[in-house]
Order: sequence, then C-alpha cells, then structure tokens
Amino acid sequence: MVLKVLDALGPQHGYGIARRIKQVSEQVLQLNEGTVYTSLLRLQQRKWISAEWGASENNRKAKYYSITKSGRKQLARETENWERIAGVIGRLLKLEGRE
Amino acid sequence: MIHYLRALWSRLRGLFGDRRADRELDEEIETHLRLLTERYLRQGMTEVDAASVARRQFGNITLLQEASREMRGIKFIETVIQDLRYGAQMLIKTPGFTLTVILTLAIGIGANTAIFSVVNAILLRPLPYRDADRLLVVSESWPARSLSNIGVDPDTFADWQERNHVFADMAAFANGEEALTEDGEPEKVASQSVTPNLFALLGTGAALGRSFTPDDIKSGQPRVVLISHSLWHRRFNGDPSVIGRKLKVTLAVPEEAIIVGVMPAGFQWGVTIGKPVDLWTPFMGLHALTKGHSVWQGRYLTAVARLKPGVSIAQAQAEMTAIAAWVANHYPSYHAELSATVTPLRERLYGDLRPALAMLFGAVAFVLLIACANVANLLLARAAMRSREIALRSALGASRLRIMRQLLTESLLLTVLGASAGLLLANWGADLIVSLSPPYLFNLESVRISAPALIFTLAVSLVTSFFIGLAPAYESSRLNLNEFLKESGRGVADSRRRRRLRGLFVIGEIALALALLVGAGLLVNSFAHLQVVDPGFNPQNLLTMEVSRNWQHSERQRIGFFKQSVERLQALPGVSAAGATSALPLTGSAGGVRFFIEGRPKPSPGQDMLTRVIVTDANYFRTMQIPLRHGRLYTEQEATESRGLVLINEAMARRYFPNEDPIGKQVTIQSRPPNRNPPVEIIGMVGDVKLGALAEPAEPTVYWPHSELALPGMTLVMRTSGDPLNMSAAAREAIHAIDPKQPITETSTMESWLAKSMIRAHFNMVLLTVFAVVALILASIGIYGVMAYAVAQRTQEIGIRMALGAQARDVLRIVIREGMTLALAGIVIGLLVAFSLTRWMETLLFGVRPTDPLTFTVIAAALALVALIACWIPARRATKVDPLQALRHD
Repeated sequence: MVLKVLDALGPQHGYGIARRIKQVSEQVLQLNEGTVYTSLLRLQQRKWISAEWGASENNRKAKYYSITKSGRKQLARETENWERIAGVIGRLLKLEGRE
Repeated sequence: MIHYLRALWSRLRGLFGDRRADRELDEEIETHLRLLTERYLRQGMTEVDAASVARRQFGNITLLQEASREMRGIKFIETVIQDLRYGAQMLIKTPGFTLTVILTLAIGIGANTAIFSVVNAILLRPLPYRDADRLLVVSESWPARSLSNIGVDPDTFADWQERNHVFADMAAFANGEEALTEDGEPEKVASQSVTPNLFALLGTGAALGRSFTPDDIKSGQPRVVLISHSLWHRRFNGDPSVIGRKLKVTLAVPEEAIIVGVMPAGFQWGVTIGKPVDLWTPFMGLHALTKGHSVWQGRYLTAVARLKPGVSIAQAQAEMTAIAAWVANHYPSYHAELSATVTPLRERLYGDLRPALAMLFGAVAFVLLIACANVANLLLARAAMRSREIALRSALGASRLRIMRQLLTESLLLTVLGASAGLLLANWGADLIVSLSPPYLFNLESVRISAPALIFTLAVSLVTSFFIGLAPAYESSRLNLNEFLKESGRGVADSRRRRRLRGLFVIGEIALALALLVGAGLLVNSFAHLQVVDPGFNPQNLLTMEVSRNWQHSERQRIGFFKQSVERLQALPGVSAAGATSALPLTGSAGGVRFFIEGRPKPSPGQDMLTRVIVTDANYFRTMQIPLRHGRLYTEQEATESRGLVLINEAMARRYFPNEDPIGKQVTIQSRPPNRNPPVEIIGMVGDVKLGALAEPAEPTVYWPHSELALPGMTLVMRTSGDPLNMSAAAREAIHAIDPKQPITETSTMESWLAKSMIRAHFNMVLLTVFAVVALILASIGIYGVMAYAVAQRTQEIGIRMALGAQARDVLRIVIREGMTLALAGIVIGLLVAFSLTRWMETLLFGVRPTDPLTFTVIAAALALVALIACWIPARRATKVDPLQALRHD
C-alpha cells in the first residue's frame, strides 16, 4: 500500500503517506498513523524505498520517502499476485453464489 | 532472498549506529504530530485538544520507538547482551549465592567431564590400529566349562589360517621375555614373538628400518628383531645406525639377532595388561613342526584376524565354529569339546572394565542431577525473593517470554562459570583417577581433557542450564500480577506450587544420594570382605625378586644356582628365611596341566582333570608360612636331587580325592612330552594359596621340587625383620656375587603384590565413595537450604504461634516434621531405586549380595540422621524467633 502511494504520488513524508492511505481506504482502515513508520522502516531495510531529508509544508525538517527501482519491481510482483488471488477468490465466491 | 540479507546488514549496522537513528525517528514523529495538530487547529480546535487528538490518532509513541529499535538492531543479540549484563550485575550483587551455585555446578560438571575423559579414552576413542573395528581376536573356547580366551596351539592356528574364508588375514603372537646382557646394565624386557604378517595386519610399519617379511622365518636366514622406540632411546640413545647392528638376546638360548627396525613411538600391541613390549621377534614355530596337534605343544598363541570387507562378525563366528568342529573331529584327543570364539578387539581389551565404568558414569550423572536440583532450588528461592522485581518488570510491559529468557540467560551464565571451574576440577580429577587406576590399564597420556571431552562438557552445561533455569523461569513467568499487587508487598508469600516443586527437588536429591550411598556401601563392604580373605600365606615383610637363568645352563647348574642364591640370602642379616618358587601367589596363574590318577580309568577326552603346577625349593613353604596340613614336605636334599615326589594343596584333595587319603597315591602329571611323565607319589598336603584373584577360590595345585622340573626362571622370596625394600640392595648384591651378569627384575614386596591384586576393587570403591560423599553433602545442603528458607518465610507465622503460647518444642517439631517428611519420602524412593540398580553391580561385588539388607538399612539410617541434622539447624533458629520482632518485621 505504501509502495503504491509512493508510486502514484512521488516522494512523500510519513504524514502525507498516512493521510493518503486514510483517504484512499475511505476510512475503512482505522490504523494508528504511527504504524506507518514501522512499515517505512521495513521497506527501507529491504531497499524498496529510499529516504532523504527535506522541508515540510510547515517548514519543518521532514524525511521524504520515494520508491526505488527494486521497489517498483516488488510492487508489480505483489500487484500481480494480489490480482491473481483476488481473481481466484472472486471466481470462487461467484461459484458459491450460483449453488 | 537478497532482501533478507540486505535487511540483516542494515540491522547489523543498526546495532551500532543506534543513537542517530533514534533521533531521526523522534524528529519524524515530531513533524508528523505537528502537522496533525495544525490540521485540527485549522478545523477550529483549541491548541490543547488538537495536540491530544493528534497524539491519540498517532498511537503509542513509545511502542513505535521500541518496535523500530527492535527492527533496526538484531533484537535477539541485543537482548542477550542486555540480559547478560544484567545477569552479571545480579550475580555480583549476591556473591555468596553465586559462589555456592558455581561450586556446586563445578563439582557436578567436573566429575562428569573427568569420568567422561576416562570413558572416552577407553571405550570411545578409536584404537591405534588401522580400521580397528574390523579386528577380531580368535581363541579356542571350552563351552562345557564356559571357558573362553584359551589361546591356540600353532598347528590349530595353521588350520584356522588355511581353512577360513572370512578373514582378509590372520596373525598370531605370544608374549615372552628376553634378557639383554650386553651394552649396559643387564635387563629383562617384555618381548613378543609374532607371525611376520602381524604388523601389516594392524596397519603399522616400522618407524626406522623395516618390519618383518615372510622370508624372516625361512630356515637358514639370520635371526632378526624389531625394537621399541623406548628401548631404542633407552639403550641406544636413539642412534639411527642401530639398524643392522647385532643384538645379543639371552633367555631361552643366547642368540644374536640383527636389529632390522625400530617401531614407532608409543606402538604397543597385545590383548592383556602387562609390561610394555620392547622387543619383537618373528615367530618360528609355525610350519616348523610336523603337524600332529600334539598334547604338549601348548596353546600359547593368541590369534588376531582382520575381517574381509562385507563379512559380519556373526558370519566369522559361524565359520570359526565350523572349522573348530572339523579340528575337534580330526584330533579329538586334544580338541574334543573345544570350539572357537571371535571377539572384537575392543571388547577383548576393555570388556571387563565396562561394568565398572558404566557404574561410575551412572554415579557422576547422579551427582550432576543432584547438583542441578540443588541449584534449581536456590534459583527458585531467589526467584521468590525477586518476585517484586519481576512483577514490576511485567507491569512495565515486559512479556512473559522476555522474563523467562532473562532468567534462563542468568542460569546459562551461572552454568558457563560453573563449567569453567568444573573443567579445572576435571583436569585435576582425571589425574587423580589415573593415579588410582591399575597400572598399564590405559596410557597415562591418553587420559587428557581432549576435544571430545570439551564438547561433552559444553553439551552437559547447556542441558544443565536448561534444567536449572527452567523451573524457576517457568514459575516466575506464571506470576499473577493482580494477585501479587493485592498482596501489597507484605512478605511475599511463597506460592504453594513453588513450595511443592522445591519439596520434589529435595526428595529427588535424597533419593539419588541414597542410591549412590548404597552402591558405595556395597563396594566398601566388598572391599572389606576382600581384605579379610586369607591368601593362604603371611604377606608381611616379604621381599620378592625375579631371577631368570637361561636354558643353556645345565639342569644341575640351574638348580645349583638357585640353591646357592637361597643360601646366600638366608645368610644376610635381617633375613629370617628365604626360598624360591616358579610362580608367586596373587600374580595371576598359568593355565592348568592335565593329569590322571594311577589305578583309576583314564578320563575320556574332554573330561580332563586339570591342576596347576608350581615348582619350589624346600624352604619356600616355611618362608611364606604356608601351613602343612597332612603328610610331610620335601627335604632340602629331595628338592635338589630326587624325582618322583609331589605335594598337593587342599583344593586338589577336595576335588579329586574326596573321602580318601591322598597321601601315598600315585599321579601322572603331563607336563612333558608324552611317555616322559613317570608317575609321582603324593607325600604331603599343604594349605590353599590364592594364585590369582583373592575373590576367586583356590585352584587345585601341585608343588614339585625344583629337581623335578628345573625351570631356569624362579622368583626368590625372603622374609625380613624390617621393611623388606631396605633389604633389596643387599639381596641384589648377593645374587650378583654369584653371577654379575644376572638380570634381576620385579623386585617388590608381597604386600604390594597384594595391593595390586586389589587395585581394581580399590579403584571402584574409592571413586564411588567420593561421588557418594559429594552427593550426600550436596543433598544435605539441599534439604538444609529448603528448610532454612521455609523458616525464614514463616518467621511471622512462627512469631504468631509463639505469641499465642506455642513452646519452642512445638516449633521445633513443626519444622522438623516438614523436613523429615521430605527426607523420608526421598529415602523410600531412593531405596527402591537402589534396589533396582544395584543388581547391575553384581560382577563388581565380593562377599555381599547386591541387595545386602545390612548395607541398605545402615545407609538409610545414616542418611536419615544427616537429614535430621540438616533440618534441626534451621528448626533451632526458628525457636529463637522473637515474637515481637517477627510481628513488627516488614
């Protein structure tokens, strides 16, 4: 999800990512915004995103995260994976519905 | 995959660059919160509300910090380091506790490592020959009399060699002695006569020069000899030019042999315990005689064989049984009822040590278990005292696993310290074991704390730390926080379960200690029985000296030499009597000689009557103080001149002349080639003497005057008025006055022979007793500790009781009853354990049965007494409780 956001919006800081996820998920996902940082750290460790310091809207120091090349690859892989699973589940559900 | 490595790398970096990352995260959080707050401000909230909503929306900041810290570093290593540091601090803060635990563990682990090193050296380490697992010792056996390891005669060996299809090769050897009289001090050395293929079969070559070839036994070839590395250094200063030099060896016949090689340092071969061999000669007896399987050839060879690849031991046994049956069929007079057995080399070498080692290993395992129980108990008690700390930690959010791990880390730390101390102890203990052990039992250098022993210690330590840490850790982690906080810290009550757990540990300790003590008690009892066994002579103040002439001297010369020696020794001041014998008591005994009684039908083949034959002079019986029971002894003149007389012992009379007077009976003893054994007359009967082990019954024996069988080698014995060893120099001089080139070996005392014959029993007894005493001490510390702790815990209760009028006697009774309940439960269980285990010790015992009721009772009572004392001390302390102070306490 984080990767998708970064892929779509370009470099963002943690606050921005958290807000974006909230918007997209239309308040379905009520997560503590802090948890986004744990994910960011994990993604960073796997070199799927990179970070650099910049200034935020309110002129504070903020870390801007952006997606890397290997991050994009991973995103593609996961999207495909997800779509396949979603497709299967979708078909399964339809099948059950017909019974 | 690759991204896991990347993550690992950045985590590793995180382990060190911690601070900066922390600060960065803080800044990010700060920014995030600020942005959120501003957003809510824009929505019209007050500053305070906005900040708190923002914080709520963000979630737990501390948790996030923790989580990211964990992700950055390698959590496991980090906590371990933290736990170790904390654990070390805790241990340093309580030095008394720490020292007790480390010492207890050191004893447990040290004893185990020491015994393991010995077991490793004897039972586990590969024997120093190529593929030693494929080597078998083959010997004749007599199933009807359950005799095995008889040895084999050369003709039968040749048949075995020819007829078998299961062995890649088969060699034979015989132990002997040679005298070296040239190049320095006359010396008698152990030698081995070996078939030339023996060394190739073992996979050992000469270190210098060559080993034997089949040509070496061809007639007309010069005699050759191989020498040991140690003889090479001792007599030839390690000079390489020794190869090709002539060596004069003198025992059977003086001969010159060419030294063709030096064997590697430390090389020894044999299947019995004896003096290290210094000289190897090729065995010439094979194929030299016309095959006849004759009676008088003697089964003096030991056969060793290497299994062909793919052949099992069972197959080899089947083949050898068949071949033995063929031999028995073709030569019934000498082989009827005989079979052949194959024994793996290691089994033959160390098989009889196994029960003792198994027992000792079991004993040290028990000691370790007791040590573990003790330490676990101490840790449990400490965990109870640390309840408050642990409750606080879990209140602050430490997970149960985290607390358990902390406690396990502490126990690991303790074990590692204990194991290090234990290794020192083991090193010293292994030396002690070696010094107590029978000589030549194993190579002294071979029992060292080796790599396998270290690995063993490590494994034992890990298991130990797990055992000792598990119970307290589990108990602590179960701590119910609510209940604990409700207790409001008033003298934290010990949970009932924990008390029960400690009680169980004490019961277990006492049971194990009792089993060990019973085992030790049985061995002590056996040893005591062994010491009061009458050897059949008076061993005090006897000096013994082995002197070997050679066959080159005529019979008259040999007899004369020993007669003269005895006379000279008798003349020495301080010597009250002297004599000579071909075989000393207690030094092991030669095999039997067949005989039959004149006037009775000859025994059918396989039903032979056997007796041992010992040659003595006339003074021997008086010197040894062997009593004459009946008839008369031979006179001085008869002993040096006449033939046709013989003495028998009581065992012989009992077995072969029951309800008969043996005096005057004629017997034919087949000690010489057939038809050269005229009947001899029994003139007297002497008391039984133990020739081999004290524990074994005396064997039928005949005594022959030296004139009957003029053996060249005899042992001189003399009874002295003071310490026999003080006389040894004078005695040697007396012999050398007759012949300055005469080698004298084995100067010793009869008392030291006696001690040597008991060394195994002594070894087992001392070690098991040491372990049992250690176990007793540990177990009594254990019960003392538990009772002292219980008293400390119940100070208030006792105070109240006393305030309400309880007498000191009542308090004493309460405490002692509690402790003794545990002790008695342990004793009952221990008796059952001992009862089921001691039967395995049967072969190690003498004169006591494995279930000796006296030993069991005495040990149980003694242990109960010790337990009572261990309870009584804390109980006394309980009675000293001042009620007022107890109530005010805490």
